[in-house]
Amino acid sequence: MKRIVLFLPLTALVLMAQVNAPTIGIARLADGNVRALSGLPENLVLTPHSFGVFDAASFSDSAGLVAKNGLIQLVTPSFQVLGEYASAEQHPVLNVDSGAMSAIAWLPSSHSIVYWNGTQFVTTPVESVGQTFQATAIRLKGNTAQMLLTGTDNAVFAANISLSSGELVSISALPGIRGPAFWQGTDVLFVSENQLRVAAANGTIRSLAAMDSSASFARASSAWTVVTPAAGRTLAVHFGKGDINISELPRESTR
Amino acid sequence: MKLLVCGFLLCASVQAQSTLGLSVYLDNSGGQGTVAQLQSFPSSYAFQTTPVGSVTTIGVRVVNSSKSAIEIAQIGFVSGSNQNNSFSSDLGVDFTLAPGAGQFFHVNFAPLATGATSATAQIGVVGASSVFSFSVLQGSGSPTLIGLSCNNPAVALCDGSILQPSVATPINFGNVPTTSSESATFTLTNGGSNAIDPQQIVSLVTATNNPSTGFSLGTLPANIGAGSSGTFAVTFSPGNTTPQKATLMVAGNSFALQGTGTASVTGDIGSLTIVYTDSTGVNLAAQAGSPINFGTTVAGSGISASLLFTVTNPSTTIGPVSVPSISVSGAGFALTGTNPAPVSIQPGNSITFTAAFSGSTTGTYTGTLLIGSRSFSLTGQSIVSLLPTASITVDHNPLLSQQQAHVTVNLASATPTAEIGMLTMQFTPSVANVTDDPAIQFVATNGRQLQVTAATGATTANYAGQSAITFQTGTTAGTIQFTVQFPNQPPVTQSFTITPAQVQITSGTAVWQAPNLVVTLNGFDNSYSTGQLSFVFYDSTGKVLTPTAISVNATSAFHQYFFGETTTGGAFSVQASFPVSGDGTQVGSVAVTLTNSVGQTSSTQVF
Repeated sequence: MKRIVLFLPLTALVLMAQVNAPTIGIARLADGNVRALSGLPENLVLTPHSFGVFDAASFSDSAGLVAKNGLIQLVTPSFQVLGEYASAEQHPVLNVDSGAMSAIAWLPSSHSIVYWNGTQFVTTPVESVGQTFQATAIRLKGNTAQMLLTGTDNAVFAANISLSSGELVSISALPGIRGPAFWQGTDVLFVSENQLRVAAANGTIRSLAAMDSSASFARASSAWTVVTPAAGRTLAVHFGKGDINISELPRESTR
Repeated sequence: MKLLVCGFLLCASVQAQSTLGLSVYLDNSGGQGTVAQLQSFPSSYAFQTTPVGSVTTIGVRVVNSSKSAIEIAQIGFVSGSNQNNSFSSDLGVDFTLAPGAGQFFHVNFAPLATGATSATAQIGVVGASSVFSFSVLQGSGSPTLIGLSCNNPAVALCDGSILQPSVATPINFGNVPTTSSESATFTLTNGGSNAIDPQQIVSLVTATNNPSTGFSLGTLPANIGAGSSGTFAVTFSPGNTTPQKATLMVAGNSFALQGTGTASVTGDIGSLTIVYTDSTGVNLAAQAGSPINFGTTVAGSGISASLLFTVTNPSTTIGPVSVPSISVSGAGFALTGTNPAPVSIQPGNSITFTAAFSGSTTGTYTGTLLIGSRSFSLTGQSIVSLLPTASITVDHNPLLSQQQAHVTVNLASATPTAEIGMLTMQFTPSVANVTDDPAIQFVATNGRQLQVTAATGATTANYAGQSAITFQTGTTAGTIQFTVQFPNQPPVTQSFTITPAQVQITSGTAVWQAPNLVVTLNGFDNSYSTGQLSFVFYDSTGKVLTPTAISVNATSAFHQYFFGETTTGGAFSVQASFPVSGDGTQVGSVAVTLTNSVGQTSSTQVF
């Protein structure tokens, strides 16, 4: 073992303690406005500034995808545009879960995948996924796109699609999970029987909160996912170290 | 009036259709039916027996059935050689009927005396050699069931004779100085066989958009027995110089009242016009004869009803008017704000003042407003709301920071009436030099107030269908005060204190970013007093690497953050970097201790 030396004699001088407002992420609210969130679980503060109104959004800690009227943009957390892709898609499924290189989108109307290769967006047509499936989540893993697909009976399947060929590499049913479903790390969020539930990688399922209707999911940061139901309160789910916390997202200010 | 060639008294034949080209019909359609649907007016028509003092009315239509325009002069009702005033009509005078055109009108029978009477109904036509007698009207006056008369030579129609119900011919009180009044004594005669209750059949009606009136009704007599009579007064006390109208209603019959206020133009107290503005912003003239109504307040609530008075010396006045004093008397009434008196008001200028009413117990209150020598009666009501008493509870006890808790507005019992109230929250930090915490909000509105509804039969007040209303407690020690206010209810307030606590760590990370160990902690300090940080590092086996804790006084950094531009209250994210010589991946964990004014908190983060 190598010896570890901490600069103990110089601690007071070299230790840097910086204090800032805790950030939560950037979330698309129920009214479509995309705004930054700060604070802590159950102590959410909406920043006054809105980045605009978008049809969809997904943010990690370091990058984000937003879409409006078919235009998909890759942005930094300060909304500097890194790249954009024009489509006719009104309901894209977006995901960024780490850096900009994790940016990927599913365009259901054209049945294609769009992802960022570091310099530009690349399109991969997908013909191997049936029209009866609805994709509710997508993420990039190596040279494949992983998707959560909901069948007509709300059963959920995890599919791997080759980004180079668009071919289906594998597909498997996720027992006990009903669509729509969404990935947060190794966990899967979904709504069934009027409950927001989470399925862990080991298959255990637990209820998180009451939810009377179907919902859509959007990542607000690496640790936060916003759950927007068709009606009722919007939830922000925080995934900590082995701990999941539910907060109710403040509505757009009416003041 | 144009000349009638044939007088009313000379025509013998009576028929519904004249040689002049006029046809007369009974019209029960109110003028809406076609001529073909109407019945020709009979040559003899008998009105139903009508009590003296009452009126029976029928609808009639006159039609020009000729091919030429006919100019009608007037209608008349004659008995022998005299006009019969028991019959009347609202057919106009001197108007032209085009060929085929008709005119709807009424014929009234209001007998002036008991017994049978008759008259020939005649229409005069300009340029015709004779009048058109279209029917002999018959009627019989029965003893007055309820007769009304009045006495005051200064008031038109008040000559003691039975008054005919009329809105067209008013009982005119004439010109009355604004500082004076004119009264007429009305006599109500019961000609029926049963007692009548004047309280039920006599009232004064004013326009709904201006209930302030110079007319007032005096005390009404008690029951009036059959064949007896009782008296009451109607007083006109104009408070301003505008013509005023009201309607005296007696057993369903309308008697128009009219009068005009006159003001001195020489510059005395009588020159002043006085108006007040009610809570809805409506301006009303203050009338000496009509109490100024402050409306309704809730007994014991301390909430008062205020009226803003404006006293104006019209520009038409010759000189200034001195108002030596303005005062209010009577329990529950008071002047609020500045009393402008004594004051001299120049022509064209005004003064204002505010009077308020608040009753301590339920009931009707009366008082008096004196503006110089001008006196106005005041009235107000104090009530108890039907809404059961409200209370406020929260589902976390005690309230702590960083919670999304729920507040509920409870009612003592099921409410018999639906009400809409306002629920507000106010936060008072207990940390010196801190004014607010923006995270303390209702999440449903991202604000500090919302409208709650208590539905009929409910025992709670709801927002958007929810009785448990979510709010955030923030990350600052202090007091959250909820207030719910329903109409006609005193506000209900409940405070909840969030005490200062040790630093709370909600999440953290420890990572090796060569050549630094970087420790990040998210949490809050609701006392805003974090100072000392200490770090103890362990290797992956749990062996202490730094026997002496690495301490740093972060008071300045935290103080600068908490009292700077922060928008998240006591929530913070602190990041500490430690330069390391050697392989930092061998560091397994770090124990961090944070100290604030309340105590110490420790958190261990694993690399």
